[in-house]
Formats: sequence, C-alpha cells, structure tokens
Amino acid sequence: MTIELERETAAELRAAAPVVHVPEIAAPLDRVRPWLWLVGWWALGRVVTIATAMAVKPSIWTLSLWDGKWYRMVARFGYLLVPSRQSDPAFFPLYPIVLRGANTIGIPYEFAGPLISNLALVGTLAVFYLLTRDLKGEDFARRATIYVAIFPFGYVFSMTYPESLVLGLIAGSALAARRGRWWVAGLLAAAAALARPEGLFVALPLLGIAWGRRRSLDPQARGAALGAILAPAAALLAYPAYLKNVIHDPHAWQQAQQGWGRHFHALGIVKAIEHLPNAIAYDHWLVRDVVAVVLYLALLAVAARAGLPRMWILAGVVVVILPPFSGAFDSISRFGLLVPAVFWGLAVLGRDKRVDWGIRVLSVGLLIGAVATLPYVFP
Amino acid sequence: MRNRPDTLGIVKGVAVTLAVGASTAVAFLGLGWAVQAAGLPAASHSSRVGANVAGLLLRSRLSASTLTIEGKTQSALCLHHWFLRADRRIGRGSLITFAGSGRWLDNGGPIRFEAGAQKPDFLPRLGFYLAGCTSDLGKRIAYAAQLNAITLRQATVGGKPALELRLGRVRDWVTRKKGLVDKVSIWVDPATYEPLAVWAKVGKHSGYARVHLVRATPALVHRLLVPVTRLVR
Repeated sequence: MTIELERETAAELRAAAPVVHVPEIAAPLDRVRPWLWLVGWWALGRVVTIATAMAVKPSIWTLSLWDGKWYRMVARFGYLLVPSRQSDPAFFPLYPIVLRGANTIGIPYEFAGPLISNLALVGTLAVFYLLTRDLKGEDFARRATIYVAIFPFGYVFSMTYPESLVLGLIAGSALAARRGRWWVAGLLAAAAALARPEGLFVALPLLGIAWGRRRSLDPQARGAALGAILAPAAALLAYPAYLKNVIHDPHAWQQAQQGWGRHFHALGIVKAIEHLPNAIAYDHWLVRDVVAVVLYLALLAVAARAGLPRMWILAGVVVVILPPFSGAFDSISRFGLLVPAVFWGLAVLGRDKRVDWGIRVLSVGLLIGAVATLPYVFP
Repeated sequence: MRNRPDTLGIVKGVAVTLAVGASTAVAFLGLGWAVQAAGLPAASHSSRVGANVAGLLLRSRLSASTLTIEGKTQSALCLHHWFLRADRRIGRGSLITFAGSGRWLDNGGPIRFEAGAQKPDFLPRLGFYLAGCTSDLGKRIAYAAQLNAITLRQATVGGKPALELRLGRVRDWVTRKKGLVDKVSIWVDPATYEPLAVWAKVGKHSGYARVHLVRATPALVHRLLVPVTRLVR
C-alpha cells in the first residue's frame, strides 16, 4: 500500500515538474553543437589568414588588394571598357552586386569584401560538408571540409574575391539537385555562373545527377532538371547581354581579358607551355601556379580512383586545364579552389590518421606562408 | 496499334521535358539580366566618353604638339614604342623629340635625357602630358574614367567646338606617391575624340599645348628612334 502511494506521488510529481522547459533551452544548443567543429576549423583558418595579413601590413587593405580593387570599382561605378587596357568587364557581376548591397546597408566597400567572403565561407563549408557526406559519409566529409577551411591557397576565401561564395553556390546547387530540388539547384548554379565563369561547369555534375535519376523523374521534374543543367549557361549569356546594354559591346569580357594578356585559342596551351620558361624567368611566382596545376590534377586522379562521381572529376579537369588555353598559367592556384573534387582527393589521401594530421599541419604552415606573399603577388 | 498510346505518351513526355527545360533556361537568362540591371549602376556619360578618348589614344603611337611651359614654347613629337632599358631589357615607353632641344625617354626606371640636353626644372611628367604622349595621356584618362573622376564640358578650341575632359586631381598614378598629384584637362573633337589641346599641372608647374595625332609611318618612326642609346640618366 505504501509502495503504491509512493508510486502515485512520484508520478504526480513527475507530471507536475516543469520538465517541458528543459528541451526548449537545450534544443537550439543541440542543433548548433554538431556544427561546432566546422565553425572551429573555419575560425582557425580565418584567424591564421587575417592575423598573418595584419602582421604583414596592419591594414584591411591587405585583404582588399588586387582584384578587390576591380570588384569595388564595378560595384561603385558600373562597367566601363577601356579598349587596349585592363578594364573591369573582366570581372563577373554577382560579387560586385553583393558588395553594393552590403554598402547600401552602410558597410564601407573596403570592409564589405573581406566581411562577405569570410562569412560566406561558413555557409560554404556547411553546404560542402553536407554534399560530401551525401557522397562519401561522415568521416570523409569532415576531413574534406577541414581541408577546405585551411587550404594553403584558401586565403583568397578571406579576400575581396568571390571564391568563397562561388564554391558554396556550386556545392549548394549539387546538394539541392541530389535532394530533388531542381529549381533551387538551377538558381544556385545560375548564381555561380554569374559570379565566376567556372560556375558554368557545375552543369556537368548536375547532368550526372539528373542522368542517374532519369527513370524516377516524371516529365515535369525532368524538365526542371534540364532547366537546372542549362541555368549556368543561361546566366553566363545574361552577362554579355547586359554588357551589350550598358557599354554597347557584348564582347567586352573577352576584350578586357586581353588587357591581362589572356586570349582563348585552341593552341593557347601550347603557347602557354612554350613561353613558360621565359614567363617564369620574368615572374618567379608563376612556379606556384604550375605546381598548383600538377597538384590539382594529381588530386583529381586520386579522387577518380576512389570512385568519386566522374562528372565532378570531369568538371574539375576542365576548370584546371582550360585557363592555360588563354596562353597563361597565372592564377590557376586560385581557380582550383572552385573544384570540390580537389578537396575530395585530399580527403582520400587523409584516410590514414597520420597523413590526415600531416596534411592539416602542412596546410596551416603553407597558408601562413601564402598569406605573407600577398603584398607581392596576386592570387 | 496497341503501342500507339505509349509512343504518344513518350513524345508528350519529351515535349513537356523540353518545354519546361527551355522555359526555365530562358527564365534564368532573364533573371540574370534583371539582377545585373537592378544591382549595378551604369557608368556615367563622362566616364564613357573618357574611355573612348583613352581607347583612341592607347591605340595611337605618335603625336605632335606645340607646348608652352613656364612661358617657353616649343614643338615636339612623342612616340610610343619599345626601347632598350638601362638594365638591357626591352620596355615599352614614350620618347619625346623636341624641335632642336634634345629628347626625353621614359620606358620604366628613371627618365633618361639626351646627353648635353638641359634637364627641366619641372617634373618631367608635365612634359609627357603636354607633348600629347598617347600612352601617358591615355592611361591617365583611363584611370580617371575608371574612377568616375572626369568632368565633361562643351568648349571651343581655335573657334571650333570641342569637348573638355577635366580629369580629377588624383595621386600620381605612376609613382603612387602621397601628396604628388596632377591635374589634367584635355580638349577633344566631339565627333572623332581626337585630342586638340591639353592643359596640365604637375607639382607646382603648369603648361598647355595644342596637340594632334600623327600617322606613325615606318620612315618617321625610324628617324625618331636613331640612336636612342645616346640617352643617359
């Protein structure tokens, strides 16, 4: 009888206790906790980058150098082509639009670039992680994401450059496609192509995903998938259409590229290789980009051998191989940041714990060294 | 006969797929254009005129001028070409040949003057602007145009209508030295954008010039180039 009474009292007490409030407090923390490792590695990469940049030259300008000047110029004054000279139509429009938007809400242009790029990288890392987890599982995804956060050339992710945003858009587009959200996939792919020409090649992984699911899609969904695949090309065409409207020259991008000595040609890669010794003698920093090409191709081969989707590998090869067709190797180290499969190749190598930590330590060391070169050479 | 509905269904499915895909692509094309049109400003009229003038100058190689600095008037030709530098490398630059009073060469590094020629008591850049040197003027105008720092006015030169491009005062765009600023105005033909006159102030000194572009014939270029090696720092 006593026992029965005690049980009833305990039940009543439990019912009366304000236990419902505990989950309310704990839930948001529970949602954040699984992402803390990601935020931690993001913070490490950014602190290393920003601290080194400030140590080299104590000014935010260090992160707004080089192309940052051109993106700000487009955001402030719009596109202007000066024939026979380096001009701003060489720079795609989405990032300047975002800079202008930030300036509209009161953020000065000098700060807007580094602020947007650094913040965008958190989202990019999260989307990249989710996509990679879908493909290869938790451990692999964590390793790959960490490598993105501390990649030696990843100091660009903190600068007034669109790379951090574009990598996120590319990964987000593929993630949306894998989850059957083709309209979102198309929108993100179009945005990627409007921010960097490399964004065009997200069409290849999208094609791979759509092809793999072609039997399970009804005609309307298939049409949406086709639309998503065509979206980056459509957005890319919107750029010369806009240039035609504002500066009466749809070829302004190609003309501006020539101001930087870039001119796409079928034999451009032959010219680039032929002139390489002279180019390196004139500018020793070019060695960095040549090493990057070899490294990226090797990592893509590793990723391909590990069975990562072929369309991602193909897109990566195109992004790495295409720039030398313009007659120069310059900046390929930066262009490769937009190739998710490069980081997947690195994650394959990092399966062994010692190699993994070796890559992490080496990456942070090289990242510091790479940031220190910023005042002397463009990324 | 039994296959007919299936075939029709397949054709219909393909048609729906293509229609949805194509209309989506067109929608993204329109959206991409609209985002740019709504999100970016259009360059100002003065910047666009400046870009055209700069483009014309940068495509040209030779100019003739009658310049007046500190009350002294002289004629000059300015050639943009490849020259041997002091470090034995080849570098592009501007060579001014004054009528009867020597030559100046700027192709990277310190400006070189013909041996025996009197060095100016003003900053040489003033001379390169007023000699109508196409590269120097072209780059200066392009720089101002890209920074939206050009004021455009209707004017006349020698009784003929002209456009005056007043370039905003900026840091010396070559040396990037703080405090070293220049101020330049250039008058151009409103139809062809060919330069007609230049006024410039560099440092404390100012001057003006009547300028025009000249066709760089091989014979003329050859006459101006020989022998550039005599130029010294």
